[in-house]
Amino acid sequence: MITATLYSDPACPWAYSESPALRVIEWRYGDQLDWKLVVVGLTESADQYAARGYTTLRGALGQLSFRRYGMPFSPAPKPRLSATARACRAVVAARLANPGSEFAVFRAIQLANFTTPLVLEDDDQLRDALDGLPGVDAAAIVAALDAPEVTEAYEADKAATRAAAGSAAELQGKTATTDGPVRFTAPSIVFQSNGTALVAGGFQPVEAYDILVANLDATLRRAAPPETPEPLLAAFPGGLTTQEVAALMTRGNDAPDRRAAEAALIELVSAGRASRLSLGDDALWTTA
Amino acid sequence: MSGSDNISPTAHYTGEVWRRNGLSHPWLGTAEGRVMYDALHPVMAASAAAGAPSLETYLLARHRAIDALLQAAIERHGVSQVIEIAAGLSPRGWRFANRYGDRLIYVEADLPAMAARKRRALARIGSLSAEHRVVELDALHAGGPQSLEAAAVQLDRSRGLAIITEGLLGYLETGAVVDLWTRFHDTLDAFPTGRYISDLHLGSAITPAVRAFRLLLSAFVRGGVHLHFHDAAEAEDQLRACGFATAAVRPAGRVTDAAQGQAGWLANILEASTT
Repeated sequence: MITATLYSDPACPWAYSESPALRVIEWRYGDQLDWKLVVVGLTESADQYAARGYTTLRGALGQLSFRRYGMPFSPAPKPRLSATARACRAVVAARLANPGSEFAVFRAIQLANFTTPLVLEDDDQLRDALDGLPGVDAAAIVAALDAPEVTEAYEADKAATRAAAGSAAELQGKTATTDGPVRFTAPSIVFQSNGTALVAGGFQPVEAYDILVANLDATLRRAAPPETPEPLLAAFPGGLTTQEVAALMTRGNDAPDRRAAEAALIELVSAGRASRLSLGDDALWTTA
Repeated sequence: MSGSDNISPTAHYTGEVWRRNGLSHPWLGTAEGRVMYDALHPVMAASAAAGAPSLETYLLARHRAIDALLQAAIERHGVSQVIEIAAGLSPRGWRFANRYGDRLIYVEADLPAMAARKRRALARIGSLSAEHRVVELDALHAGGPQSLEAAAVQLDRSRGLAIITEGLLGYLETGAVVDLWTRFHDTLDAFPTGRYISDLHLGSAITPAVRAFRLLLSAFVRGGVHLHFHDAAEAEDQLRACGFATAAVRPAGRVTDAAQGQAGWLANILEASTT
């Protein structure tokens, strides 16, 4: 078994844009990778962003440069700046309440953050973003954000993230010191097996992850891309974006064919086997 | 996934069989299952080459047949709630939850270690919801917090219910099976439609090939596979004696009408109804 520890933050556009590559690795190796999600906790206060000269306009304009990676965006200035701590705590609270559900909570916050006016540190909006998520009690999660056990686990995540000094991520310039210690940037993945740890620091192409995993265990099974998107939509009941489907259907190191993927998805919708939900400048595709 | 304590080898292996054959989700397998599958694969391949039924084809035949009967129960017989007892790593809950969405309540039930493992996997997949849940349940407990009765109390008494067991009965002595069937009937009888679907081993038609297969199966489950009834008629009589209004025991190959080779005739599937 390989443990894959993902250090990430729901407000990081790099982490969000890594989603297609992560879906590919999840599909290829399935449960042979035991994923753990550790939140970075980028900021505790919106003032930290203001002090760096960050503005809501800059945030919206910044999204434009991430469009090339294909995830949905809705680039409009947010009503105000927001720290990421409350959102990270929500992920931790979900993990404590229902292990495994933190991934769905993390994704729901990401999608809402980049395609809606969601202000992450507004608890009511956070609850709305999680409301209706299958298997997740949004109200209970928000109510637990400041619970001692959530604080303890959140601080442990932050400390783990800030232990990247001397790592391969630092060698590659993929770490940061925004609040002191050398920390992993989001997303970073540490793959571990039998005492060996391999680090994919910061934003990386899917090929980098694949090479690390394959080298850790050459006996793994590696699932091929499916012929149509339909099995993908079944495997990811929370839905997939167009770029994620394109990446998942890509063979070898070919470039993803987004147009072909979208055409295949539209055909599924036409046949009544998939649904399309508009999301920012793209869509979320699910089984019908 | 962690937490393999107290989970039987058969659960690991069958989970991998379902996954290798396209019936399961990439995250519903285990490392243990992969090792077992790879270790047994030469034996299975040799069986197949000799035209004999293999454990793998047997497991697939019974799984697909139960799928078919459950689908019919949902689409034609008013069932909209399911409790699958000793669900293990079965992908059926995930597949049926995907297929029927909020039109179906699917409760997967198992002993605590497996329930925890399954719950985590389904949460990771994003399949857990109010309609698709996992509960801790010991099939042999009559009453109490981890009993079938406790799980059934959580369901809607105005909607039809199906109980599924797959690969469970073979572990139990006949007396325990009869007790279980009686409790299944009593539980299902509180719902407007009640159906019980399961696999079942029969004592009839013990040919040399079947005898060899049973030896393999017994070795696999690390114990004897109990034969509770001589033939289908005897099992059907017992189901009716337990209170079911109708009962039928058929080979899996007859349920699905699919080409499943000899395995389709070795796996017997029972379907009993309270109405």
